[in-house]
Amino acid sequence: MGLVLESRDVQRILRKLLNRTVKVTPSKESPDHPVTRRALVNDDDALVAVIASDLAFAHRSGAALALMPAPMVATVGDEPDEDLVENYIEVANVLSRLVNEASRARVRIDPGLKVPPEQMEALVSACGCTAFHVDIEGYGAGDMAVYHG
Amino acid sequence: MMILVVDDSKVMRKLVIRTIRQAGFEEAEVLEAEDGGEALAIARTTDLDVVLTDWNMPNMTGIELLEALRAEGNTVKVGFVTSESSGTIRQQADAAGASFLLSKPIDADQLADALSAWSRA
Repeated sequence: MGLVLESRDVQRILRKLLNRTVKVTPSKESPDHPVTRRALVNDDDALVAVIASDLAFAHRSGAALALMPAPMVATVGDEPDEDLVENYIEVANVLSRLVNEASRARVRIDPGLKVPPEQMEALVSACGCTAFHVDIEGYGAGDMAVYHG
Repeated sequence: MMILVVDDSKVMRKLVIRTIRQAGFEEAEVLEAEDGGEALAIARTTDLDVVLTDWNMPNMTGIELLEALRAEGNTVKVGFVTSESSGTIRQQADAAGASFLLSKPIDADQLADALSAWSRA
């Protein structure tokens, strides 16, 4: 699945979703905090890609989506915040459009969380990722990636 | 106007409701449901003008909700607000009688256009 994912497309989607300035550039990181991993599956519920991020992106994008006061994010610390990560999953869900648009196939976040974690781990370990550094106005920066074959 | 917003994500429901207000429907009464089953129960007892629903939800999906409404003879206008964007999904929505399908992320102008087109129809 030779996906070509572009910074400008990530930026377009995030700017509109978060309704604020978002600057997106390519990243050489491989962000992959375990709580941020979500499987992208096709109509046969087969795994085709994994979307993941570092905790900074998860917290900051989740806070921006909910219009939480930005200073609150700074107090969250290094442990996953359940509410912010839940909000981030919605950001990831909308970002799954990237894969839809790039592959012209219907791909969605695994709705029933049926893909075993070890299968996602295998894909993340074996496949390269396209990663992005994302700076969200007022909330700060983090990295996210799509792992695909 | 009575609008029902259906999404399993609380933050997305809030976002859609905020967009409804920004689209000029400040006076609309807005109800919320977190899946198709809950939405169907509300639709049976409430005189709704429009249902704005996500597509992928647990228990009962958005398209299953639309089909269930029509099977019960309920002709309320139904629009999808979803991260789905493929042609297949759009065809499925059209065939089932959806009024429109907007792909997330949406903005106030898009929603205003969709709701205005519906209200003129």
